[in-house]
Amino acid sequence: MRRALVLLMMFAVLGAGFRLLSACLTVTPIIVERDAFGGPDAGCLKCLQGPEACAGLIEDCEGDPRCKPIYACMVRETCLDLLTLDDKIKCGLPCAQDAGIQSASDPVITTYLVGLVACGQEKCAGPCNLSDAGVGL
Amino acid sequence: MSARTKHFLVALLGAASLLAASPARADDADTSTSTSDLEGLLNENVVQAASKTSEVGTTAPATVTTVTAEDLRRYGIRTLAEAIDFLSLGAVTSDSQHVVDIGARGVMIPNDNGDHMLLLVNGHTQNEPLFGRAVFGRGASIPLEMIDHIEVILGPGSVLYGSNAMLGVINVVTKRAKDWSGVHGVAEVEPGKSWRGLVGAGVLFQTPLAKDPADLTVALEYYKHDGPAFFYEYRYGGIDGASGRPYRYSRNGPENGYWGGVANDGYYTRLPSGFLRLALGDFELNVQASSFDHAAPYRSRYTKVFQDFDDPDSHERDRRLGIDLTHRARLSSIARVTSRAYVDGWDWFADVNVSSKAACLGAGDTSANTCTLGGRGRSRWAGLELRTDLDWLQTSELVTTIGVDGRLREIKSKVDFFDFDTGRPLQSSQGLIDRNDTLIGAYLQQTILPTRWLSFNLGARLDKETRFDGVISPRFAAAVRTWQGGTLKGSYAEAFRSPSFAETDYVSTLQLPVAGTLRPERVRSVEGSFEQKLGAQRLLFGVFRSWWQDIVENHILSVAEQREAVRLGQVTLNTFGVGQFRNVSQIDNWGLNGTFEGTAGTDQQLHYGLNVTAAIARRDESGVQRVPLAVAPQLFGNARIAYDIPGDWPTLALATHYIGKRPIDRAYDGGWPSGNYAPPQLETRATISGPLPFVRGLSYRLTATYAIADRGAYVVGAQQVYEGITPDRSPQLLPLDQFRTSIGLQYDLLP
Repeated sequence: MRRALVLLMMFAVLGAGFRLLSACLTVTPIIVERDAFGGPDAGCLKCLQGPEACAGLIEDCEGDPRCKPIYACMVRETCLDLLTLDDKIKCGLPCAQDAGIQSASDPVITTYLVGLVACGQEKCAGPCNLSDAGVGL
Repeated sequence: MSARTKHFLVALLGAASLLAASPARADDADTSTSTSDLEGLLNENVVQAASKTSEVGTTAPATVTTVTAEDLRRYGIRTLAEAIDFLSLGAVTSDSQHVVDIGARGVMIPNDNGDHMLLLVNGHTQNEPLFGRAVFGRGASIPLEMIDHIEVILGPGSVLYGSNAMLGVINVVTKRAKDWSGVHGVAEVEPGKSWRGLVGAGVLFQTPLAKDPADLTVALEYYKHDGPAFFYEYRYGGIDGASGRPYRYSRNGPENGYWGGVANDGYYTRLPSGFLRLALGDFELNVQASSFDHAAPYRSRYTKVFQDFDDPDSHERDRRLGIDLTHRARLSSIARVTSRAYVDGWDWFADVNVSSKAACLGAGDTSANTCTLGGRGRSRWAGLELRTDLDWLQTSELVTTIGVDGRLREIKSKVDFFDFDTGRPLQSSQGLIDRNDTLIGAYLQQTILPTRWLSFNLGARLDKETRFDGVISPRFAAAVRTWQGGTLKGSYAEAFRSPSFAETDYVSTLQLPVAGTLRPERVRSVEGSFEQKLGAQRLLFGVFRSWWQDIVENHILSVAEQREAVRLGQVTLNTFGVGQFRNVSQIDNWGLNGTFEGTAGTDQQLHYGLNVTAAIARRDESGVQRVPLAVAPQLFGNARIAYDIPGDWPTLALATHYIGKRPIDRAYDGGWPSGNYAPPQLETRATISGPLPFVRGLSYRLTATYAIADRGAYVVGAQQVYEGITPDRSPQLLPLDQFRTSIGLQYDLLP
């Protein structure tokens, strides 16, 4: 009888512990609905290619054998005309990787593509939706 | 609770009820009783975990170090890791501030969450299944004053314990009430850095539930540390590819690309914990609970790759609750049955805040100023182990042990991405793991002592879990008493580690699913040792060799592999550094170790010891040059001496441990032109302890610790790899606290 009482008591502790464990941290997944890439607006690329805007930088990129295919891919995929900077980058990264770029710190990215973003912010902020607020820097 | 879990618990209750109904009494020398009594009788260390029964260390089927409570007090030990480093043979730890890595005999796998070493507390497994994590630093949450002894068992130990026991098994055994009677209070301070408070009690009391007195030991402890405020040298980290401007490394910091400074806020620990052990009749209940909240200020190679500098909100918290109920019964003159039911819960919360646009782009939205990568995980498991010991001759000369251990596990985890300022989720959860699985292990061990000078221990265990085919772990050991005090031992053992669920199941845009099946890691080991006792002196010399295979690593895909993965639709080509867990490498390991320890003096006032390990361990991967293991020291050891001045005078003690030069964690993938080795470390601790005069029950302990090296083996900071964008040609290594002191007071109100 005593043995049964002890057993009952001990299992009450085990059971209480198990219940307590159920009350721990929640791990329910969060679902975030997002729009797909914004629709292209040809205004950005046209602006960037303007002689008063970033044409010089684009010319330099096209003169670099590693940068040229990336730019061509981005134009083909209309990456630069996508709505937000995030979308432009997400579209452009596969182009860079397809061209053999293995790191975001590759000089092609830091020189030409980051340069193009900076130039776009300065010269084509409206058409490219790259105002400071838009970029969110 | 799932229906499956309910069924399991019902079965478990039924099995235990049968045992409770048994008329036999558990009046045998069970595995937890009277260790100190036996030691006193035999003048030998008595160990329990090597073969799940009390036996002398000399003939145990492995190399074992026993660290006693007296050693812990005498040498000013404050954590399990310190006990290992200062007092044990063959094992060593390495603190990265994020985690404490543990290794043995030259093998250490950095940031493995301690999952190659099995940690037990009173025989209860601490390693959880999501990461295989066992904590050896402060987070181990075992009040030091409650520890009776620590058994450090080297070499593969899966024969009785299953997964994780590749490096060995560490079993912490807590005191019984007779060894910790009364009420106890401890206050310990490291001035300006940390403090610890503990209250506890050990009580024997009569209950109507059992004939013998109930034996209760209980303690509550709180540990808090802040700092020290290390200076991390400023280093330029480059241009943020997503913003086109220099990186920003803190929420309110400038976009100037410089990482570093004085870390005032981001290095801390908050650790409340409690432990209870109650022996009542044939039953024993162990309850363990803790919440380990900690932060380190720097970004590192592994999970904190993007962390802001010195951010107190980037922290990690492990909470644990473990309940273990054991029942021991003697069924007949030869048969003893031990049944153990247990439930465990563990959850994990990790927030890493990052103010880089490139990282926020990966998190889903560069419009966030700071994004939070939030890891959340939870595992619960419940199990039942039934073990029968058959002492055929009733002389302990021919004992068969048969056991079966079944476990149900539930594992869940996810990674979320938030805007730190608003708490807004930036993208859907990634890395979802939601698994229920079953694990069953069955083992058989035979000990044979055909003569007084010869003993054998043979055994094997079969483990089967939902994810893998069965794994068999055998062990053969023999001990020969050569002459008076001399023992020659040899053993062969195998062990394995089931890959953690984080390795087999974690998938994200940066992590490909495992191709096919990830095989369990395996290790085979042979060792031999000779031990000679000369009065109170003990000398041991051993050699070992081990072969590790199928080591699981997160392989970073090459461009070609990533393209192939894109072609197969496994990943989208919009990121760099996609990984995949694979069975990548082998380790070839051999070496020798030795111990000399003893006592001297009319009342054994002088205590001393020396442990040395020299090992070679080489990582071997197909098509890659064989290299020493990163972070793992190949030469390490410790030495100690203490003198108990008779009467109420203090005990003076000096302990030191040495870690040889070793490759840093990024020695092989950092590309640094120089600085790929951490300097040797020699850390020495002086301790004075004893009773305070005039106040009965009050005692003190003062320690001063000095480390000669001021840098560890881990690369810190934004420049984890050499990119050539700054003049720095060496990595910045983890700063260490070279000089520490502590003052502790203990009050024991004896009955």
